[in-house]
Amino acid sequence: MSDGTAELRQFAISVGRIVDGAYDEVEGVVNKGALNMKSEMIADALGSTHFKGMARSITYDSENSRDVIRRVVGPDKSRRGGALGNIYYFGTSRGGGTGDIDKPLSSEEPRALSAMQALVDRWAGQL
Amino acid sequence: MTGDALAAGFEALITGVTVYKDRVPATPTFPYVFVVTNFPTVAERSLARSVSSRVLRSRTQVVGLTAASVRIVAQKLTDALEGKRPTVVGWVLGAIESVANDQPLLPDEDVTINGQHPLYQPFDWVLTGSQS
Repeated sequence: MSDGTAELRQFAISVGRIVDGAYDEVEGVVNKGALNMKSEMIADALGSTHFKGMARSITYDSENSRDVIRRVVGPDKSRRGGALGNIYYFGTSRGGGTGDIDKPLSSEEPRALSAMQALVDRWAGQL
Repeated sequence: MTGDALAAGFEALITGVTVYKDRVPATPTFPYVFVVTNFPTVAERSLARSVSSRVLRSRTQVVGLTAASVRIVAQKLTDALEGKRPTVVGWVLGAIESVANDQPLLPDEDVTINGQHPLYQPFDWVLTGSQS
């Protein structure tokens, strides 16, 4: 008859395996989301009569730390047309700001949450 | 209890500063706040898919001839909006919250007034509520 020690040890080993790969798996989900958002922002800018020239300046940067996986998506001012980004999204003293900077995030949010849920479900199945 | 009434209720809170709505005149009075408020979009649905809450988004451009005047008007604008809960017939509303946009105070180089470019900074706001 088991006193549970063996099961506990096996559980700890399983958790350890999941933790070892978790960072990379979450980063994969975040990367996919950032790429989708970048693609949507480029498509939106290309659809603008006045700002299509800045579309190819839209990219994303990785800002990872030990505990945080972060992607910053948007126009890069060092790229051609990138300096127009704040005018496209935020306007000037007389208005404008025709680009919707929130839309790509709103579009991606349910997809990213679904992907994260699938990841968590898979981890749970490995325990 | 329309979306227009909600937008009007939001914009009516901005007092004590020159406010232009929807469009800036050819010769504006500086400093000013230019405000554009959208139609409240769906923020949340019930399990039966009916709309349970909507979110009103507004962008305000604070414009002045000096950085100091932009900051002073921005403070007035913040005092008028942040955390305020407008009363609009037909709506149950939360508090207005600013949304970080990381936009700096910039010169508008397309406009020149007496040889200088006005300065501006955009501020974004959200107000969530449901129709009663």
